[in-house]
Amino acid sequence: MTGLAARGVTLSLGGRRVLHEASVGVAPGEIVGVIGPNGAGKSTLLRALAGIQRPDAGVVMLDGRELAGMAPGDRARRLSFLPQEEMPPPPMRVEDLVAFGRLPHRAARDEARDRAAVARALGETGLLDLRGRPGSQLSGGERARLRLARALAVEAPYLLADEPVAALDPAHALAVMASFGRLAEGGRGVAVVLHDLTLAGRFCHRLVLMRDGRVAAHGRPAEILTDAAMRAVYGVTVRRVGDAVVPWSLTDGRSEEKQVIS
Amino acid sequence: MIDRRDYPLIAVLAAGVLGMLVLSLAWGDSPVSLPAALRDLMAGRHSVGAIIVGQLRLPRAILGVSIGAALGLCGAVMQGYLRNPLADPGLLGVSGGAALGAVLVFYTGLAGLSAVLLPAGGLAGALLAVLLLLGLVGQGGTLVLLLAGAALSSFAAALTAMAMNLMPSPYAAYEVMRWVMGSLTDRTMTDVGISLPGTVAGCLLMLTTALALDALALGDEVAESMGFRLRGLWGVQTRVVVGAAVAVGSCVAVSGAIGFVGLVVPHLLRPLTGHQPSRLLLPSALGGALLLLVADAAVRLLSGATEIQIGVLTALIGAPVFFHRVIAMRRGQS
Amino acid sequence: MRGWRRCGTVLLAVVLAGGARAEPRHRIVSLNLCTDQLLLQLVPARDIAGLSPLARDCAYSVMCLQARSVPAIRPSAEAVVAARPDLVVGGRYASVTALLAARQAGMPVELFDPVERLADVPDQIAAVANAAGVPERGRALVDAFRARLAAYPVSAGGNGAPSAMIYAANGFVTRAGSLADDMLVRAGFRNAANGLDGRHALGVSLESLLARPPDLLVVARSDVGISLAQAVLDHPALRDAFPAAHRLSLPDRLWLCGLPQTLDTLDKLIAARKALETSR
Repeated sequence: MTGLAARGVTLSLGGRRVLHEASVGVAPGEIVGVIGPNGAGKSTLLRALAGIQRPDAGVVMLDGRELAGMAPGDRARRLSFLPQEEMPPPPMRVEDLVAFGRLPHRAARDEARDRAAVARALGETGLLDLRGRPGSQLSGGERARLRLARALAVEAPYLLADEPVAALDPAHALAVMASFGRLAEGGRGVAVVLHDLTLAGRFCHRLVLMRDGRVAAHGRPAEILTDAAMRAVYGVTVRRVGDAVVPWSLTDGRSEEKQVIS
Repeated sequence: MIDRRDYPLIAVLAAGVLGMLVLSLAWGDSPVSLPAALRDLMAGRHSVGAIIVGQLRLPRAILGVSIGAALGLCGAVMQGYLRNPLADPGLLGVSGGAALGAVLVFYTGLAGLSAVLLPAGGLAGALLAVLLLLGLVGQGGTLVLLLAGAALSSFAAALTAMAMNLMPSPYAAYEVMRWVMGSLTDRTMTDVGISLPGTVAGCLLMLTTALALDALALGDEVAESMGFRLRGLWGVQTRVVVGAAVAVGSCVAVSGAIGFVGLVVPHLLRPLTGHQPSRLLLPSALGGALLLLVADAAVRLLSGATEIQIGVLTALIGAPVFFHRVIAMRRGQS
Repeated sequence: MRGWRRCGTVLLAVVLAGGARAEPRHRIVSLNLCTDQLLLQLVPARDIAGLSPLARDCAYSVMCLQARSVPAIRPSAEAVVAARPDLVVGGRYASVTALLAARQAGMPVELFDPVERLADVPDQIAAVANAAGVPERGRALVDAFRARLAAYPVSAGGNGAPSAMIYAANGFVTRAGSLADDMLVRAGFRNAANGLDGRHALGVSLESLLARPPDLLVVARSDVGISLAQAVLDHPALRDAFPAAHRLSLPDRLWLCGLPQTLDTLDKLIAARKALETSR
């Protein structure tokens, strides 16, 4: 029973019900995109999956074990979490900040492996040239990549990323999604909150559409990204440009199609 | 926790502490031959030199090291935990609370009942101050933290002054400064015995949070996702709060509230330890010990008819650092 | 300078006493610990309208128990005037406002300086007795004091004498020009505090004390409450450096005023010197 799955998770924050019997799963080797309007409960769902917020009802299972019963250190080695907001980075070297991602593996004391993981994470995020710079001097986009690099350095079987591309220009956003693709090819499970439906449709194997704390729909992108669903959930009408499977497309240098959501 | 890159820094600081320790044993009001005094001390002879070195200078030097180390470490840990470089047990009223607790136990004679009561009073005062501080600050930023700290420390100082004015001893009222600014003069080995266990225990407890402080530099959620329990009985918060309260309470119970050590030392050492919270801890403890030994030597050099409080000297060194930080903050905001 | 002041005081007291009626006063208020204790020994309790609160405090007053049978009075102008005394006595340096108010209200006010030598104690006793209108009772106390004082052998006190130092809270020491210093000399000691340099103008650090220890350390404590200042007197280093024969503990109340009882304190000092000499 491999995979990370929330089953009937209900969660209230400050008296307000934020999640209502949400059931979502991430299997090894797949990217699951979590989409939906602001305030739909996407971040809370991700935190529940990460074991940071305990559900009032329902369970989160990780590879056949209940997440809540796991030792925090054990959990941290299996689940890497990239929250939406983090502290601005301290003026430490980028390399040292990324190395914080190895903290869950501190008991192993395997320095060579730690160094290799940090180097891989820096390479994946294109930060190798900035490795010696103080984190506080990075631009907004570089900081976003630094945070991702830290999460990648954990090298956990599952990665949970909350809006990892929000601060990135299109080229870097594509690069990040591409590296999620490589993670999935390597057998890892990725759950990612996205607002960019083009990226969601293009890179995710499955999409979970959230509305008002409930899972409104889930399935393959083509099944979810329908005119009716968009209108119902986001309250917007969309104009299709280009082919039918991925209705909105972002240029990546090869095509001239434009993103149109109006 | 000890990074290979910090070995030279740690070695230099440790050598400095050792050197100052020897100096503070060898040098004082009256010329005493240190080797002869140590020989007498070992042989158990009550020679003048042995008494001066063993019972006057040694406790003072030990307390200088232990209290300086505890304050330096406590500053580094609190700054890491609160992610705020202005956190300092003295500045935030933790030492002030401890002084109030110790004063209430000492001047009412409770301290005479059991040696444990004096540090316990300091601990209770410090704990109360930390909890009040955390309650007041909540998720607030630097400004809220400093406001709450300023309010707490002046409130504690006022209560201390009032308590001492109400005490029966005619001398008590004149000793407010010793508790509010701190002093290491005329301490005994009994004081060392009273203060050292709590100081060591509190410091060890704070040291267990070293890696959690690294993770916390990235935010609470990241730290939690990396397997650090923040709340709860053995959570990072509990260990920081209890560790700081036990260490500061035990120190202040015998020395009074010595300010700014926890602010200055981490500030000076942070660039030398790559700004990494965990790497800052041990050097800050050594640096705190060194700073307090130097300040105490200056006290003995400068004091004439009346004693200069050691906290006055640390404040003289510390206040400019504080100003510097405030100016840096203002620049960062504009 | 000091000598002149003393002469002046005695003269003033004598002149005033001579001018005063010789009949006893019946509503006497005293605002000074020393005159409090003298009055208690000179006049019946019913003639005392009020003593300073310190007189009841056994830490400072050797007459504390007797003082509790007479009213205590706050040393404020209002309280003193309201007590409608027929004589107010006080020290020259304290409760100045209250004394001024009493004088302005037309009450007879007598001021006394602190006694600085044993030989001046009889004069002060006589002066207070005259002011209170009981010269005979005063003369009896004075004669007894003089007789007892004369019985002590006059000691040389010179360089051969053992040294002593009065060490009080905060490391304060007592120097020449004080009653305590005169008593040390009368008891056959050399006051070691007089040989100290100016750096120790006020207090003497424990370390300096231990580096040049006197033969006898007279520990003067107030026994009131607990303070860091007093805690110094219990420092283990002092215990080790001054074993039994070299240490004498005398509470503050035994030194503060020049009284008939002051000679009891002198006896204690002399006994300590003898113990010191036999221990050698």
